[in-house]
Order: sequence, then C-alpha cells, then structure tokens
Amino acid sequence: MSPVVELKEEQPIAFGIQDLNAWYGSFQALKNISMSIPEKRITAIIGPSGCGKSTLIRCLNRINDLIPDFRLEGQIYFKGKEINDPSVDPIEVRLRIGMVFQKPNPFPKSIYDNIAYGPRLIGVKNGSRLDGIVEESLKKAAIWNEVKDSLRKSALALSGGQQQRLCIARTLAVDPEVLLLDEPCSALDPIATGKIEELIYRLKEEYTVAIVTHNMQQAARVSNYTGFLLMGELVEFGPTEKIFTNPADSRTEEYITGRFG
Amino acid sequence: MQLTETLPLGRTQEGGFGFSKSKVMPSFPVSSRRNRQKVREEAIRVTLASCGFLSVLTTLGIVGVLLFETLAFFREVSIFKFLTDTQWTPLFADKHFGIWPLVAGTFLTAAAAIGVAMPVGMLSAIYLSEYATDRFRKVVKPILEILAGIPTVVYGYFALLFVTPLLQRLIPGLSGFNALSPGIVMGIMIIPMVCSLSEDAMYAVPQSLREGAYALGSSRLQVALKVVVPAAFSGITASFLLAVSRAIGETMIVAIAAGQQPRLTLNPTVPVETMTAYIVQVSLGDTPTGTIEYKTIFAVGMALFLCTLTLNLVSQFLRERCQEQYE
Amino acid sequence: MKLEGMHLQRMLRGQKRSERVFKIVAGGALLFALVALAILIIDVFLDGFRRLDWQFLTSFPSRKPERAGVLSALVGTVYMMGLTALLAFPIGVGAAIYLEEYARKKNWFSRLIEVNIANLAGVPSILYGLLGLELFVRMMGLGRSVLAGALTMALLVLPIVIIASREAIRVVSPAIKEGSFALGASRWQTIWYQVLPIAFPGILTGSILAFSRVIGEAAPMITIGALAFIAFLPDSPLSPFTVLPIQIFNWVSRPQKGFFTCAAAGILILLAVLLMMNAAAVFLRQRYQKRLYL
Repeated sequence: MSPVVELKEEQPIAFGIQDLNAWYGSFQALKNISMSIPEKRITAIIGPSGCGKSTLIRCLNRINDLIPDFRLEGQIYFKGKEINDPSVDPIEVRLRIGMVFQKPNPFPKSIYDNIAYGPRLIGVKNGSRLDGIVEESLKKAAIWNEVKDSLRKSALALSGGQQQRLCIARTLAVDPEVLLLDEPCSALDPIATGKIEELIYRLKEEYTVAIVTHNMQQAARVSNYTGFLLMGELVEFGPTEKIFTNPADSRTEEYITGRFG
Repeated sequence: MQLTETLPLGRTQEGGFGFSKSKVMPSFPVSSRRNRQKVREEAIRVTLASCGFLSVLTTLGIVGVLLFETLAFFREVSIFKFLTDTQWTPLFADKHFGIWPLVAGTFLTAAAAIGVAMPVGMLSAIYLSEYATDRFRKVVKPILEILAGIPTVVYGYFALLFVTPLLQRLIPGLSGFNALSPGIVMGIMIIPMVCSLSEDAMYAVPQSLREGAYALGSSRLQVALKVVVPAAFSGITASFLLAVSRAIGETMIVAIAAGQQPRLTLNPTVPVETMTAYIVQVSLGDTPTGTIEYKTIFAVGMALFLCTLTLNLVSQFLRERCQEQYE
Repeated sequence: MKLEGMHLQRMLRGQKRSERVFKIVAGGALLFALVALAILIIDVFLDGFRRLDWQFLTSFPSRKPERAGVLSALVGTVYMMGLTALLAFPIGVGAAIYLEEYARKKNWFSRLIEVNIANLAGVPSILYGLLGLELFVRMMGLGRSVLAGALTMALLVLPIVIIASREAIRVVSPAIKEGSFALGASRWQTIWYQVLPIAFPGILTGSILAFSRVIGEAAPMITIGALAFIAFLPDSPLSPFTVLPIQIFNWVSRPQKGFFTCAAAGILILLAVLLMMNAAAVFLRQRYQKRLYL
C-alpha cells in the first residue's frame, strides 16, 4: 500500500523518493518507499528499531555507498536531480546534504579544526575567513558561548551533548542545503536533548531538516511532517498533527499509543 | 521438591545438600582424595608458573651477562673515551674505543631502511585499509607476510649480489660494500611489519569517524589522509619505532653487505660497520675469553640492548594508548 | 561561501585527479613490495638451481666450490631444531597454559611475565647469542656444541611459542571448561582432558611457524661460535656443528665467485625446508580447523 502524500500547504519539495528498495546483502531493509520531503520544514521519520528509518535517511546523502554489500533500487530526486545517477558525484551530494549521526563523532582534533575541516576541504585557506566561519557555525549551533575560550582544546574533552552540537556546527560550516539527523539525541541525556531540539527547531528557518527518531514525543514536538516506518515499509506519511491525532492506519495508531515498539 | 518443603533450605538431617553422599560418591573418604588432588594441582601450577618465569630469567640473564662484561670492559676503558673518541679499532695494535663510528654505521643503514619501509609500508597500509576490497586484502596480506619470513642471510645475499651491482650502475663510485644497499634491502624486509601494524591502527579508527568525514563531502583520499591517518597517529608512530628497533638490531644483512670498516661518516656509499656487524666480526675470529676484544662485544651489545629496549617500550606504550583511545 | 557551478565542478575534477594519482602511488608502493619479493626469489633461483644436485646434498664443505655441499649444515640444522623443539615446546606451552588458564586474575607476577615476553620478542637475536656464549658455552662449559646452540635457540624461540600457544588456547570456548568444572573436574583435569586436545592442533601449527622463524637465524649461532667448516656429522649433543644459514653466510663471504653459486643453492635448500614447515602448518590447520568448530 502506498501512502497518500498530502502536504498541508503549497511547499516546494526538496526530496522526491520513488519506489525505493534497499538491501544489505540479501536482507531487504526498505520496501517500495515513496514520499516527499518538503523544503525548509522538519520532517520526522519514526518507527521501532530495525524498521529501516536509518537506512532511509542514509540513502539521502549516499553515505550507504560505503557499505560493501548495500544495494539500492528506485529513485531519489533532490531538487529535480536523481542523486544516484552515474553522472552525479557522491561528494557533491554530501557537500550539499549534511548529516549528523546517532553517536557524536567528533574527529580527534581541536574544536576549531573540527569545524574548519569541511571548509578546508573545499579550499578555504584564509585564516580570518576560517575564523569567521568557525564562529558563525558555532553560534548557529548554540555552542559558541560554551567553547569560545577553548577552541584549541580537543573536541573529545567536551560532554556528549556538546559534542553533538559540535557535530551539527561542523555540518553547518560547509553550508549545506539539507540537514539529515540520524537519531541525534539517542546517546544524550534529557537536558542535552532539549538543547538540541531547540536548535533543530530554529534551523528550519534556513535548512530542510530530516530527522530520524524513535522518540515519538520528540517527533511530535519538533516536526512539521512525520512518516511512520514499519519493517521497511512506509505505513503512513503526513502532517505531524494528523499522524499523532488522527492517524489513517491502525498500525500507526497502535505505535503512537505505545502498544508496540 | 518434597524435601524443600519439609526441610527449609533443602537440608537433610545428615546435613548434606539434599541427598545422602554415600549413594553418589564412592565410599572411601573424600577428603583425603581431595587433599592428594590439591597437592598435585598445586605442584602443576607451580611447574607451569616456573615455565613462565623462565622468560623473566632470560631477560635477567641477558641484562646480567651484558652488565657483567660491560662493567669489566669499563674497568679497562674509560666511559669518557668510549663516548668521545672518534675511532673504533679494538682489533688493531693501536686500540681506540670510540663507539661513534659503529653508531654512525648503524644509523646510516637504519635510516636507509626506514626511508624504504616507512613510505612503502604506510602507503600499502592506507591502500589495504581504505581502498582495497576484503578479498584483495585476504590474498595480498599473506603474500606480503612472506617477506618477513625469509631468513636474513638470504636478504644479505640479495643485497650484496643483486642490489649493490644494480645500484652501482645508477650511482657511479658506489663501493662494493656500503650502507645504502643493505639498508634498502632491510627496508624491504621490514615493510610487512610497518604495513600490518599501521593497518591495524587504521583499522581501529571507528567507522563513525569515516562516515562523519564523508558526510561533510570528503573524498576517499581526504578521509584517509586528514581523518584516518591522524586518528591512527600513535599506532603509526609505534610501528615506526618498532621498525627502527628492528633495523638497528638486524645483523646478517649488514654483516654481509655493509662491510667491516668502522668509520665516522654520513656517506651511505662507502663501507661502514654496524654495532651488530662488529659483534659478528669478533665472533668469527678466535677471540679468547677475558681479553679486551671479547669484552668489547658485550659493551657494544649493551648499547644495542639499551637502544632497542627504549624503542620497544615506547612503541608498546603508544600501541596500548592507541587501543584504549577508541574503547 | 557556497560553492557555485564552475568552481564546484573544478574542485570535484581536481579531487578525482588526486584520487587517481594517489591510488596509483599507493598501489605502486604495494606492488613494489610484491615485485621485490618476486625478484628476490627469481634471482636466487636463477643463481642457484643449476648447482642443486645429489652431489651438493651429500657432500661436506670443501675448499673447491664445485665439490662443496650442504650435508653437514642440513643435518646440523635438523639436529639442532629437533633439540630446540624438545626444549622449547613443553616449556612454551606450559607458560602459555599458565598465563591463559591460571593467571586470569592479573597479579604482579603474571603482569611481569606478560610485559617481559612482549619485550623479549623485540630483543635483537644477536643478543641471545651473547647470552648463549657467556652462559652455555663458557659458564656451563658446553663449548661450541649443538646443545649450546639448541639452548640458545630455545630461549630465542620461547616468546614466539608462548604467544602462538596462548592464541590457540584462548580459542577454546569457556562453555566447554565450565561444563568440565561442573562435573567436578579439577583445573588441571579440565586443561588436560578438555582444553589441550582442542587447542593442540593450533598450538602445533603456531609452534611450527615459530620454529620456522628461527631456523633461518644465523646471528646468534655465529656468536656462540658455530663453525662453518664441518666435515663430519654431529654424533652427540656435545659435538661441534654448523647450520644452513651459517654455511650460506660463509659462502657469501668468500671472494671466489663459485661459492656464490653454492650460497644460492644453499638458500634454495633453506627456503625449501621453510616451505615444508609452513606447508605442514597450513595442512595441520586445514585438517583440524573443521573439527574444532563442529
């Protein structure tokens, strides 16, 4: 069954996903997914663990290319261009579509060098310009005040929540159009989670955000649209209020009322 | 379950654990059988422990022997001369005991070896860990390991009779014995060690760091050089130190192809003598025990031991730190 | 700061190019190592294979290259390795059992042994030769004999045997040990009846590989004074001896060209011995591996 994509308002589409199937070896992780992710809105993908939500989001910036036995069928359009087209360089895809992972993964370098890593990749060498980017990114990620006096210290010395905000800042530093967040709070305590949610909510002004979470309250709190995934299938996709107040599918209802998962 | 109901804690009147011993165990007194077994077990434990302790005795033996003869050596030759004289001629009538010519020879050959082993080993490691497929790795690594298993006399032969003539065509004036050729060949021998230790260190870098870098739009090369190599740095340094240690302790290649002329030089094209080659040279002659020549090889051995031990300890420390880093 | 059209495309093209260049350089480094190995083997083979004949295998060393042979060196190598194995194998396995099965709780004693073994494995082999010279040849009065050589080699190979045996013992599943303990077996009974039978093929394989590592060692044998010119076969552990690597070293050190050919032929024999030992180890592993994981 293919869920009806109904967007509440007229909103340009960032990602159009069509008949997406994905396999790890012989295990099919995604089955016939079709959905649209609107621009400058927050789209949440929820579902029990192992339902394929991480796989789905990891397809969007081709990070799954790195997994040896991963295979994919179907189309993913980003701003009208098929991102898996042989003529598309995965590096370009990843430059334009940033990603933050489940566990904070700062590089074992200084805070400054973590943020400057991306800009340096694309050839920014000018010191004061780098300083500017670092400061701006850290401010956007709401961590500037905490680290501005210790930019040269190792990023590994930060707390988990700070590390995750650093990773978000690092992603913002290359100025992507999209932010993919793969369960960004699952390794964090409630206070750190609150800070990151607040941050995500502000980021939608400038960025298209897709967030994977197994925390339904989080999806309800931050997102505009929600998709519910179960065993590799997209059960339902629509505006968040509708999914949480008046789901069309009984499985969605069972999940959000906590009867399984 | 009836027993537990009538007798709490499962105890019977005899005080055993729920059943009468005599029905299960043989009738002879258990305690004496257990005692005999205990004595036997303890004897075995002590025997096995002493097997392990033998390795400690080996170290003590090496240190003791070196120390004993070295002290005897320094009763006849002052430490000051040993460290300041620029000539090493214990086998001549006009004896000089300056260690530096031997150190220079050792340094030269080791430097050449590192010059080959580090770049080749590191690049191979990056290729195997970041570029190669699993299948390729499985085939190539054992072949590479063969290099480390070939006896050193064979490398000596190869250095003297293949590499030196080859180099003589490229470098006119290269003498038949020199530091360059055995150094290069030694480097080839050490490649698998550098490669596999560096690869282990890179392999230990968590995949999440690679993904993080790819997600920022890095190319494979940028991930390898800017994230993986720096993250694996302490492990790579450990492999470097171990390679140096191997190179200065290596004996046969330099004894065959570097010559036997202790010489304070940094020129890799002339014959030199390494610390190890000197020990071989003296051992080949019939040097009576107790003479000063006999003692020199222990003094040189002591210097060699101290160098390699320091390098090994630092290397081991770095490797352990590298392992802890990502646990 | 956004990368637009031309600039981005130029950057991506540049990256692709450096990617290709690096792949060639790194692959080339790997190729260099493999080619060096191939050249080494081919070179020795071309130099030596014509000299390989029955006469070479059955003759003693000689002043004339064309009449020289490796008999005494080959027999000396086998004799010494046999003695070395007799000494080092039980002690090495014993130490490995101790470290894996008894010293589970880390106390100062087992820490000391572990650190020590790790360091011993990095001590240059020639220093073992100096130890052997002083301890076995001089103080114990064994002279320049097979036994002194074997004792020295045993100390040299011991750390490698211990490391290899520990790995084999570690593979034995704790479930089997617990099963044995649950039946009331003592620690040693468990080791003897359960652990060792399962670990033995692995121990043997690892040890054979360890011995093949030291069979090519010449340096410690030179320091304890193994002679190169032995025109008889060792008949007791106390007779003088030579081994293949020493014989090869001796031939390489002679000025006459003819002896270089002898050296190459000797190397081929040494490599053949190594190859046989490695093949035996691989065979053992193949044969018993399946049974182990049933």
